[in-house]
Amino acid sequence: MKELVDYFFKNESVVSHQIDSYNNFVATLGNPNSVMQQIVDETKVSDEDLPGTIVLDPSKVGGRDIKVYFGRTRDNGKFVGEQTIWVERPEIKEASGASNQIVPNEARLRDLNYMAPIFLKVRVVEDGQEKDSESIKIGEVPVMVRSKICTLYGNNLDQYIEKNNGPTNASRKEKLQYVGEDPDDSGGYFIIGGSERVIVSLEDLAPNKILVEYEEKYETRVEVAKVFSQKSGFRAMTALERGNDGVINVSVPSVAGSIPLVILMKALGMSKDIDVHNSIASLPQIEPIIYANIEESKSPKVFPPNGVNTTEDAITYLEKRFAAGQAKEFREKKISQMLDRSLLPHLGDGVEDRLKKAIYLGRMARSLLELHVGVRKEDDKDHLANKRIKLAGDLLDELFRNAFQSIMKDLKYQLERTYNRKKGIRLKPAVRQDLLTQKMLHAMATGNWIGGRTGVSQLLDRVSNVSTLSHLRRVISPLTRSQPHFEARDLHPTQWGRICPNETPEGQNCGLVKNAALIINVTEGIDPEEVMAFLRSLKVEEVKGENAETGRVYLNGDLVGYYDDPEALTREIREERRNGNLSSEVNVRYDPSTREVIINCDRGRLRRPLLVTRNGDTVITDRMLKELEEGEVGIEDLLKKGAVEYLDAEEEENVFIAVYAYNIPERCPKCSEFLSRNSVRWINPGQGAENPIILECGHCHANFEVERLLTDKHTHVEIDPSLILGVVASIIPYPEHNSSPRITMAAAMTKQSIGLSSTNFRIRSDTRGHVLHYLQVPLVRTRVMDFIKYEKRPGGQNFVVAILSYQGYNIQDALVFNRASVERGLGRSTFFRTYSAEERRYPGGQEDKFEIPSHDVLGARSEEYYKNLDESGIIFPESYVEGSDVLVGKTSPPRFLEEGAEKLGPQRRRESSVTMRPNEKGYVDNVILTVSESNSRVLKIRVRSERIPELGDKFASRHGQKGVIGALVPQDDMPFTEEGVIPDLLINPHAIPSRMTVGHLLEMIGGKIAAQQGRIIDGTIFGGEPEKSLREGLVKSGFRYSSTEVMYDGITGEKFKADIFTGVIYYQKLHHMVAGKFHARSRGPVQILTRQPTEGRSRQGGLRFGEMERDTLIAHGAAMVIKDRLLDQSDGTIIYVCGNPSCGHIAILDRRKGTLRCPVCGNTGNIYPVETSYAFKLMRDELSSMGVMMRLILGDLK
Amino acid sequence: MSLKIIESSDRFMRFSVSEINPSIANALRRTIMDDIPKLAIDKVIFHHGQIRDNEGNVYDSSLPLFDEIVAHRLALVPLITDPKMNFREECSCKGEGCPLCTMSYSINRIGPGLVTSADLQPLGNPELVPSDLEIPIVKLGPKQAILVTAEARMGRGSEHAKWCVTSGVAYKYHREYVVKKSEIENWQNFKDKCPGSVISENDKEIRFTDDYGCTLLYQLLDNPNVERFEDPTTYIFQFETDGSYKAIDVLEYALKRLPQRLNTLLDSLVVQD
Repeated sequence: MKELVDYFFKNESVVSHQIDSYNNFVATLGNPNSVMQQIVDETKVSDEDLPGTIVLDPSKVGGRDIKVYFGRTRDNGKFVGEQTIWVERPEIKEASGASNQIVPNEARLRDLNYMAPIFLKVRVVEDGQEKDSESIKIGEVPVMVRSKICTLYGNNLDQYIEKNNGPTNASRKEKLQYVGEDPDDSGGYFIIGGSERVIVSLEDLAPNKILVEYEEKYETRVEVAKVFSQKSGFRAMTALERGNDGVINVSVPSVAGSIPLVILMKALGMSKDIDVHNSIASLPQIEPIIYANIEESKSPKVFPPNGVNTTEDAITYLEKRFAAGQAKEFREKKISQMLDRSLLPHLGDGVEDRLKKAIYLGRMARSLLELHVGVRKEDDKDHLANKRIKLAGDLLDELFRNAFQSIMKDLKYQLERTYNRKKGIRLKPAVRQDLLTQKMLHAMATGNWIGGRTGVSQLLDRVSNVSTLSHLRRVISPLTRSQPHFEARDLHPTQWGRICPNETPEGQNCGLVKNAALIINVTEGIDPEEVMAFLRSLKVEEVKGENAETGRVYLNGDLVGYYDDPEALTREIREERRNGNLSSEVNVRYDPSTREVIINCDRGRLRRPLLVTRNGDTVITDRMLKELEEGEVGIEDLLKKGAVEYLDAEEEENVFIAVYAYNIPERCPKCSEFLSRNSVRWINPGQGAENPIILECGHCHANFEVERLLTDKHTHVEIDPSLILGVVASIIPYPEHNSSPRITMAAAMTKQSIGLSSTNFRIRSDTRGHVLHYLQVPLVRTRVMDFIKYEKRPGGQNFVVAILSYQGYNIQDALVFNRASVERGLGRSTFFRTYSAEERRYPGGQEDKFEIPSHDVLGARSEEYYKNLDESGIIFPESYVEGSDVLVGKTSPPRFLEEGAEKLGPQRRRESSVTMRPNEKGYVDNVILTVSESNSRVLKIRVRSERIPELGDKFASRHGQKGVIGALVPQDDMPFTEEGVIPDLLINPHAIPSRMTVGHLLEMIGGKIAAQQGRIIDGTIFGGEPEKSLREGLVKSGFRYSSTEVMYDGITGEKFKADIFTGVIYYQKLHHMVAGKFHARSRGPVQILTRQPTEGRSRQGGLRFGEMERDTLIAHGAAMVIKDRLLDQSDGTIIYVCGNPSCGHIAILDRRKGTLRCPVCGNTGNIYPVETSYAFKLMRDELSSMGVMMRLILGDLK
Repeated sequence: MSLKIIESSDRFMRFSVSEINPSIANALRRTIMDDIPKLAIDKVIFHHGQIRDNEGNVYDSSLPLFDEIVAHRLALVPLITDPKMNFREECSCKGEGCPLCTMSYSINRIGPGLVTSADLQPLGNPELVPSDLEIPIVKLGPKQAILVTAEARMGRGSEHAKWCVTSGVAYKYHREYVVKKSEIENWQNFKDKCPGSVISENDKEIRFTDDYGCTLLYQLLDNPNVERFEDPTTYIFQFETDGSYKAIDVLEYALKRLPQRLNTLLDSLVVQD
């Protein structure tokens, strides 16, 4: 179904899940039901106020009744009022006061925040008198690049260009280039302080769902029923636990200890025992346990004086336990807080919701007991049906909710504080915009989200284009890395088609950090009322009491009704959804073992598209596909026609999916070319199962019949099995021939490959970046490359490779390169580093200045260092810089202004130039001078350096075969074929057998015939050109079937005894290069505090002579070497010690007089130099600061 | 030892040498490969800043490619070489650079347009132009211009690949195949695809007396049913040049160069008493 896949990628970006989620979140005019608006509507300023309203304290506003409405008005729970919040276009407020709309690249270059103003429409009612409503800017929200409020989105860009006198008639691509953007950039990230940040999707346990499981507690196994109850940002876990004595206890969030279930249910208003029983009971086996629990609660021994019988008893019990000894009023408040707020908040927070909670607890208990008696199985926590994905929109939701709440609370406080009897309230100055902006900004900039989560927003990976895409599609699990969580890390069957099975890091994050598969859909969620109305129309019985006989219907985890034929109901719901009468967001599952119908319409379910089949044939027809191709219909139409549907992991449990609808013959019966899944086209889908399947050969375009694999038992058929992989794993050709860990490694390495990360790299100012010079499109490619535009941003070159050992220089994965190939440009790349400088302003009107520091500036260097700078102190482009050369001359004001000027002489400005890193060199590529938000000048200097492959640089193929260069061999020493072909690269034959990367060999063959025949080979997973076809291609091109060749040794001139396997394969240069890592030190800087050598290459640090190294010298008895390493070459110092046996303090050397004197005892004669480590002296000083005096008592060596 | 030229054109040559051994064959191969002196650009001076055309329009000297890439591309352009030119270090100018050892070129182009090797203007001997005139160097955008002077000097391939005159230098052992018609089903195919000059046939078998120009025969290499004779004393060489010299000149030079170097070795030998 190539047409369908093509359509998906043509019309939806690879990161559309992120952008859609943000679009759904952000409030724009014309989107009245945005998540932001809902937050505004739900925000309560205080416990007493209604949502969306501020009621000012009459005592603080002169006794008047002032209400401020900021939420929409509602009528019967439905919002009827006008939209009250909206976000405008991203803009920046310049220091001059003007506001200008900006484009992402301006934000990147000027270190700005790409944010847009939020406006809130507020109504004030004073003493019942409605005043005019006011629209106030309440702050700013980060803008996702390419979302609908982004300047780059559709019409916004045209308007921006028109406003700024740009080329209005240009194509969209040219317009994007005009504003400095890569036309194929995916967007989906934010720009904060000039750096691109991603909000990584989070995988979380589904809220409001009862999960039962066994838990190990004190070496016994107990059954637990848990529910993560979540209501508008507030999240709390309620758990039921069956103890060994059979008593069920409830642990309520934010309450210490646990409460017996029956008492809690009674406290919630379920006073009759029969009601308690009925809400739990389902099976005869669990009856005794229920009775035991009820009996227990009535026991006067356990609950004196009379046991708990009524609601009042229960509440008294709770009061006694949780608020003992407090005033009645307090006790009541405490208990109502507990029952209404903490317990199961998703069911409501009013007294009227208590009975609902009791029934819900009963349901939880039933599930728990069913688990106990073995009717129900433990819930699978790792099943995707029990998980929800939180995308950027959901995480911003949490953030905005918190920030908005605090700004509205602050608004109330400010209004009351600034109330003036004459002027009344003044809204605009009372809103503290910064509060909201800063809260959002701080979380985005640091990744520290509310709730103590860290690493939610991350710096976007721009190493290569695929690494960027992969980062935007990453899904992380919040489970801690330190614990094993073996099951959570395992590949779960429900991840098929949703999460890439191969792309995950190795090591501690393995299986916790995941990546989305190619085509996914994350539900936005629809109003459950919509589904309820639909269910009512199907005559689903309302919930009245427990009814064990009929099927139960659940909606988003809530029991909403009963139906006598649950299976029929499930069928009906599906039918209606496929007819377009019910939203396609709804998914339904029937569980025959419990006769439950589980309907879901909530947010965050990870779904995948499938083709629907009916009576052994697809619903989709060739006509629909054609219309899709021509753009006459879209996916939505196919969803409405029931030809395609999105299934979540829950509903997928109910279906029977055919992987393929047909098998293909090895060769075309007409032209006898080899066939692959990708080279045939099914031309008669949806024509009925009675007709045979007709395929069209991609070579000769003849039609032929094949056997049908679809039966009427199948409910769905895969669109394309290759969609199970993610974007990175899809780059690998023939992965189905490799061992799985190698694919994982290849995926990890592809993300480190350098190529063309974006086409606007010359006008970007990333701190680090690489570009490969002679980029090539892989000769063996995959179809997915079209979708992610890999061929426009490739990341490697096709190398001629021979597999043979060479003089020991390719042992252990080393690579032998042909030096002539390197000299001709193979594997060359450029490395960029951007240095930045700013003319900062300091309090007191002082500021930095870009200039060539004059001689009287403190710390000024000699003129030699400033020779490349122009008169303004800024370096010329294309000048060669190295070592610690100055890039911008800069002076800063004196550090301590107030400190006595007369004592130290005139205050001098300090030199604070920006210099090159000590071990880097290159040419100045670009100098950008701009102004920051605070109107100070900002300078960005990009230095480039050419990186020619050298010994130790890392390269890898797309099959997890990595290696570093072990030798660069002159071409005349290289082996050669009889045609005079000299390989670019020699890899060791031992790299192949144990790793089983057969795909590597197939790619070599594929590349060889691709180069010879001038065609690109398709190596897509499951559908690429078959091996036999490749081998036949070799023979056709004059090679041998085995792809081996006769080769001669370039050194001796003799023919090799064995024939050598050769081919052409795509190699990637990885960004680990020797030029960025090599390091040595003889003398160098030391740390100020300890006087030991600094650490790390960037600080010209020393190489640590560690404990184990020290041990070796001890073993050798090389005491002098140890002393040399640890003292003389480190922090050895000579201190003068007072030899007075009653003193032992450190003496002072008076350099002017050349005398020694002990400052403590005044001794001048008896003082000796002692060699010790400075760290020891430091310890002595620190101890003395604590009041512990260490005395050094000297004596002679014996 | 005898040498026979089998095929020869301006830029390609195939010849056979017999009665030698692998080390001699290899020495000849290595000489052809990277011991032929040739001109190649070794120094490129870019004009930075504004560039004006005759009408006074201002162009920018920033190129779409980095200067070091352009310089590298220029260095790889094959230049027609005067073999009489000196190596700089052996020249009478003592390495200073003079017309006897150095050849200067310039490029002066304004954008938009593609700068090719044809734009490389020799300043001096007008015959020493690039041997291919359509090699793309850099594509200029509007308002971009390139103003460059470049110096070429003589060098050998062993120093850097830009001084390599030849490519595809290889030899192979002389090989004969005897295909029994009874054993190899598709013998007709092999016969048809190979030049008649190497085929001698009788009822039972076909004898291929050589396999150059007939890659199809390689498939018989690992066929146990084919008799194969390999002669490690007879070699078929082939190579092509980049156009800086004619192929025959390369061979002549190499044949002269080889004994020269051997003599150098001989001269520097110190005979023990």
